[in-house]
Amino acid sequence: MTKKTLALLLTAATLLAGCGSTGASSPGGGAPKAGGTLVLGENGQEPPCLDPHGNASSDGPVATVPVADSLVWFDADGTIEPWLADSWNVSDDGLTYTFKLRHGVKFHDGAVWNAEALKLNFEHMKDPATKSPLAAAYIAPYEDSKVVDEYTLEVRLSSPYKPFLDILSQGYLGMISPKQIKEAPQTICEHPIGSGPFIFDKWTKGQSITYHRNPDYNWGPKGAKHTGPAYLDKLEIRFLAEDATRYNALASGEVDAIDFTPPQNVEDVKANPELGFLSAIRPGHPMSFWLNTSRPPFDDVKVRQALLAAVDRESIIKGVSFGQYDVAQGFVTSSTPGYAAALEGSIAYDPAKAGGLLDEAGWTGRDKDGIRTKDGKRLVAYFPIAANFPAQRMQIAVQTQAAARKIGLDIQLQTPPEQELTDRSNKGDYDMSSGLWATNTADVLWIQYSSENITTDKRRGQNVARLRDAQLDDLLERARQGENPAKLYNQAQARLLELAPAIPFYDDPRPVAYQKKVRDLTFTPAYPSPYFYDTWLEQ
Amino acid sequence: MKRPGPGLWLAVAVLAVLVLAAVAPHLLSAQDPLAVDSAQTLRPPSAAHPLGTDENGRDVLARIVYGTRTSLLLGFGAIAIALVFGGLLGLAAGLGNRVVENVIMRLSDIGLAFPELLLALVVITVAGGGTANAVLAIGVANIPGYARLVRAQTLAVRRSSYVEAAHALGLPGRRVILRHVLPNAVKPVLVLATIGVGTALVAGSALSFLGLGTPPPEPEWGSMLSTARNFISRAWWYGVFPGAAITLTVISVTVVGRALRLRSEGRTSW
Amino acid sequence: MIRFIAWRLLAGAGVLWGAATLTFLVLHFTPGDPAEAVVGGEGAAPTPEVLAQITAEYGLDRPWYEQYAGHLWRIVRGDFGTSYRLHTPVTQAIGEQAWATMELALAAAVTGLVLAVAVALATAGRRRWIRGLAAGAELLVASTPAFWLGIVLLTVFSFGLRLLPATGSHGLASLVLPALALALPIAGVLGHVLREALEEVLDEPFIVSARSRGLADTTVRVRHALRHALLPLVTMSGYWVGALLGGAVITETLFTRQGIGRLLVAAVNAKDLPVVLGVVLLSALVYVLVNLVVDLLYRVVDPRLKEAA
Repeated sequence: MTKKTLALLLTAATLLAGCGSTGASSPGGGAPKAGGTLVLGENGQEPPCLDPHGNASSDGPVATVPVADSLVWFDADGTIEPWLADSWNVSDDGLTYTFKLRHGVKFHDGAVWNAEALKLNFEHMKDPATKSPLAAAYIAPYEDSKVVDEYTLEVRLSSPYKPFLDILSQGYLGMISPKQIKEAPQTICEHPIGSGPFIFDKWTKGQSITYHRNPDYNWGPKGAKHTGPAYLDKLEIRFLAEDATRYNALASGEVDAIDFTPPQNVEDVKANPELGFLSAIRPGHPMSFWLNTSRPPFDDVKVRQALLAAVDRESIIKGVSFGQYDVAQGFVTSSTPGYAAALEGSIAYDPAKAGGLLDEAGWTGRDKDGIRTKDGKRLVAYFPIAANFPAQRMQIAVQTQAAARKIGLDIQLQTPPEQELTDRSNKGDYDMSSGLWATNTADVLWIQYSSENITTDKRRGQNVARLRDAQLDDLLERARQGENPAKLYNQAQARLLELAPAIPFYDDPRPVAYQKKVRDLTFTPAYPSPYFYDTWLEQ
Repeated sequence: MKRPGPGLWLAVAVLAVLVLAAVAPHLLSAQDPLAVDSAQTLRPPSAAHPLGTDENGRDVLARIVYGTRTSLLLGFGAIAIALVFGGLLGLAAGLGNRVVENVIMRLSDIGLAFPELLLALVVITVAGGGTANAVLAIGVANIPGYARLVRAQTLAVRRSSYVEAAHALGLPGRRVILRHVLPNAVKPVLVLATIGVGTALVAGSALSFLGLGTPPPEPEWGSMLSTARNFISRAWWYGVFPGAAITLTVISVTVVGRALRLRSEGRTSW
Repeated sequence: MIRFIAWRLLAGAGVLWGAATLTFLVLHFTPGDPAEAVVGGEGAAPTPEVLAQITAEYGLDRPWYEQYAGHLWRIVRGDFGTSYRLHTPVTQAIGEQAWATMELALAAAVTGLVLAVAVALATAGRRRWIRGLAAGAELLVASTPAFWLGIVLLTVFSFGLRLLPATGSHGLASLVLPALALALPIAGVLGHVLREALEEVLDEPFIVSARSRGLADTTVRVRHALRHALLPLVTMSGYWVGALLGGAVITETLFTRQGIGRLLVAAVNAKDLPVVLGVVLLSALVYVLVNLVVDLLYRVVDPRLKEAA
């Protein structure tokens, strides 16, 4: 599926169902039936902690969203809808958010959802004792809040922060029972208590998490297809790290659905009349190799542009994904609000141009292996990787290495000890680094490329390209403050194409495959992951 | 009394081919094991690629042939480390005074109390991944075992009648050790070590499976096998051939090792 | 006898202390900040406050000897501490995983031993081609990496024939393939050793005399020869217990089973010292106890050793 058809489908689904979730709709009609257990096979990214605020795992939201509702719901088209908040008001200076909360919401332990509960959740996210690896950073501008009345909370920020509501819709910022936060915060990791459609049962570490239906649930998001409790009696998430095992567990009927369908099996899934397939591109930064712009050789923009032109991303991605992934067109994915569609096609494969750029940069000599030299120095880039580097990323690395060699750039893959790797990445002692960042706003560009986010002794930041560009900083900061983000993000994306701080490879999808008897399995668009509230089983 | 069967000669022949592949791989495969071809990924065996291609379009045969050196290094290198250090410690324990013996034996107890793989894991956490460190890891994990073996042999030889006779004849202690104790203690250990090479090779591939072995793009059998498992449903050849290479090598080493053992125990006629 | 056991237990305590010390030193003096390991990694963005909190809470800023003494004193009092990574007590973290590993190791041990004994009993001293066939099969499984054997078993029996489930730690069916994958290489090695020992015993005069008394072949093998041939199995217990525990990591990973092995790998990577210490102590304890039991067994099997010790 190309991203355009997917985008069309997303829009169509939104129009038809009046909701933001794409999903396995029921073509044959038929009314949803309650009952049954759904078993989902997940990949191996099992979170070490199930406190929504206490993990940063890509499998965090799929495991915590059934239990913990969010303050607001994010639609695939980028609009924010009410959920546990009925409405909100933002002050003109962007510093004060006043939330009017939904009445009648109860947590699984009987605690009541009110302004005090929201305040406690914010404080829990920020509290260093929570050891939050992500949520705390996402609400960094949060200053404090004031309970106006039982159902009204006034939140004050230290600086204007346009993406605040978008971030609040993500599973990592789901709402936990105030009673548990106050009385037993140490139990949240092990046994989170929320207000969601499913009640947490048991976490068998290394294996599975089980849930059962919350019979009192009546506060689903506005985008959902139904109201009242969920249809499924029980839900089980089973961690099946091995790709072949996960796919075969679905094919043999051991599980009802699998997340992260291995790309080599997608064709088999589509050809199988018993199986359905559902995919969404994760908003945020595409899977990329970042180039360290703070030291040679990639401090020279020509060398960076040369490497981008030397790599045939199209054919590499087609090969590693068995034709399933879309090649990234820039520095945010196509599903990110603010994506600059007009800039598509700007990064072109052109090895001849790559050679020319390196000549211009002064790398004109050649050593006996054909590697370019300048002033007696070889053109080498060090790419340290972790022992558990994903196989597919390794493939991309190896093929990039081969392409770079052809233009005389020697990429050396290194496997230092895990801890040395962290040290080196904090110190900026690398030339290349890989990764992606999934979040539902173009503010991801600020996270990844603002010079404020270069890691220092005092601050850990995500600007692994260590890019420092005054023009880009200005664009991103102003967009963050709320000044015409659409236009500013467009300009930022154009500027990044000139700066070439990374090789963007593909827009990361979340491909889910399921037995046809599974109906209305959907995604939470804020952080695309399977969402089971509307899901039912045809018997 | 047994005579060497055809199995032994076959094993020796396999080892000879392996040595050739390790020393002069270009004689066995004309292709470049690192040549990536994004358009030819996971192709089944054909005239151009007799054992098919891998996920990066590289020739599987070439990668097996060129991977021989690293894979053998894993087995032989690790056992060499274990033999040298374990041997020295074992000799020291067997010949030294009670304090030395006790210290070495208690240390080896601690070493043995760590499961081998855990010890290897610790070494790699400290030293990082890569072929040299994998060799070191497996080698270190095997040191306590060999230290005990050598100590036991040393004690046995030291108490044996001919060493006592040498002492009685008034030969100097160092000469007795060098001439008599050392060779007699080490010979049976060497023979056992041959079999150990196979075990170390398998352990090396297990490290590769956990992602702690040879870094890409260098070919190594264990890491080939480890990557191949992701594509097992689409490309059987990618897993089967490196798997066969490991099994065949270990079998050959074991067969030769067992024959050497029978010979050293005087149970064969050659 | 009591003195022997007491002495051995004391020595065992020394081994545990040594193992704990070694573990602490290695994890402490390798580069890297445990705080980073706990909340860092891809997709994470820990704030400085969070990192400072972890450092303070786990006492990571104290001098190493204080930390070492702290950990040791804690363990001596029977408190294994709280996992940095999982935020749960170590005893609970290990407890949750221990049964799955034990189940797997026991199943594999039984399978491996039964296979080895059965094949050796059936083939020792038989015609050349029978022995050759058994020896060949043993050599084949003993020479194949366990994870590759596991992949082949999975592909054939689970993905292909769909006879057995590929995943999970529930029920007997899900135990069959992992136990086999773990047991076969061990059975291959033990089977070979056992058959050689059996063949040696079968040539002994007391077997010849037993046969001359007209005892049936099976009776001779099982009742008379096997007992003597079992000695090498006891001698090699160190090998196969180690192979079981080491192989468990691989098998657990491949079959996505719960287990101590996977817990340990994750803990080592996260510098989760309390968990690593706990697992190391547990496995060292198993080693010490197994060796004690083996030495006691020796005395039962071979009475000559009684005076020697």
